[in-house]
Amino acid sequence: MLATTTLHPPPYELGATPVDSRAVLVALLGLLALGAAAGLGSPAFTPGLRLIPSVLLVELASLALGSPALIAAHQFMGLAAAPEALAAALGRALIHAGRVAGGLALIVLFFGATTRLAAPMLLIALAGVGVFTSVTACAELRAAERRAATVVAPMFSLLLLGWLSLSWLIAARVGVDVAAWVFDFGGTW
Amino acid sequence: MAGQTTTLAVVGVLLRQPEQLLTDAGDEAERDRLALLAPQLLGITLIGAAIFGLVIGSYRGDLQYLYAALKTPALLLLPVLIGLPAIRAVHGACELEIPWSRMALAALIAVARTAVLAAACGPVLWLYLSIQPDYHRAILALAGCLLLVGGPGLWTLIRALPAGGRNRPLATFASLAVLGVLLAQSGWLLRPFVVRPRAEVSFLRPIEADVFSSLASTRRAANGDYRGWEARSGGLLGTREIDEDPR
Repeated sequence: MLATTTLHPPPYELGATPVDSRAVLVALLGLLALGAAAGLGSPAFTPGLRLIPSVLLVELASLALGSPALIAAHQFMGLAAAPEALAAALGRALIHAGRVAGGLALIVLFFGATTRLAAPMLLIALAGVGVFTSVTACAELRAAERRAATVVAPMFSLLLLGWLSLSWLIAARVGVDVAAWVFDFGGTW
Repeated sequence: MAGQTTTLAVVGVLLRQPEQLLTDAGDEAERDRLALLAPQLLGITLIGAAIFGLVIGSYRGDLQYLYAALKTPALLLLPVLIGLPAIRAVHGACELEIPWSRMALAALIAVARTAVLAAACGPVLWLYLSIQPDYHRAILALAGCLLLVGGPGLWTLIRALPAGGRNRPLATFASLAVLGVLLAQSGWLLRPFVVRPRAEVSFLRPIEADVFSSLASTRRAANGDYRGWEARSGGLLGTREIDEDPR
């Protein structure tokens, strides 16, 4: 019985453009570089050391916690794009986020080297990385949906909005915990 | 083109139609164009900015002529040098992949154009500074000139980047913000440019505080609050102060 059961091809396009693993690695290095740049500007050793993975933790945590919910809700609502296409779109957003972080790392390093503003600059840079991750993710997800269906359903836009809000809330929550860990002011890390 | 033309001709194109210095004939042609134009554009930047620096230095005279002339090219080049990777990355995030050669050429053209315009502003600024205005007025005149020439320079950079991409206004806004913040802090770092007539001339001040706290202090002073301002040093290159107790 099982042998004769065939899975019908889903009514959406499979085989999204694969995400280059080397580009992902470079992106992760970019996120680490942003934290390291702020860490170099920190006057104390331990917070400086802990700042290095801080950006990576916030970015990955918000993506890792928010993305499965997006993909699950997307499939549950019967929208068009394949899970693989959505995952690839999010992967490309991560790549762009890492590149932006890498570019901003130089600026944070400049301020960390010449002022006491390393931590505030890191916060602004982190917000910038968040904005560009959101913008790129929306564009990529919308493109994936458009590739699978000629018309993007209004429900998809609603889903994107909900996911974006959730991701920013998660990023803020994780950010508070990471800041508590970095600066040791008694958080719930 | 540029290999056969004089620097003066390049200056002419730079002021009239800077986009003519770019090429859309592919990466290799762009690299060739960059290799040809980079020395001339750098030279134009150095000379133009140095002339503007000389004018700024004329407010105090003596060694400040030399110091300001040496520092002004750095004031124009440093923000672009530090900000370029971020500008490229934000455009990449907006689906506009720009080759490094195009970025570098666009940045050089923008900075060179700014420097030439700054040099052109020089006589007017010199005339004003020659009547020895109040120090704050001199600073305002300098800031006004920089705004006047910085605007077309930034616009040149934005126009010199390829068209297309999604969410382009966001990338443009982020690029301008990056360059604005970097220019402000670079100016602070490379100060003094305008030196009070009786003040001691120095090439650079110690690395202390930052441009934002300085602006906040200036604003307080303008509102009649003269509580003073403690310019504390910090950062990797400043004197670190670890957990100091001000008491």
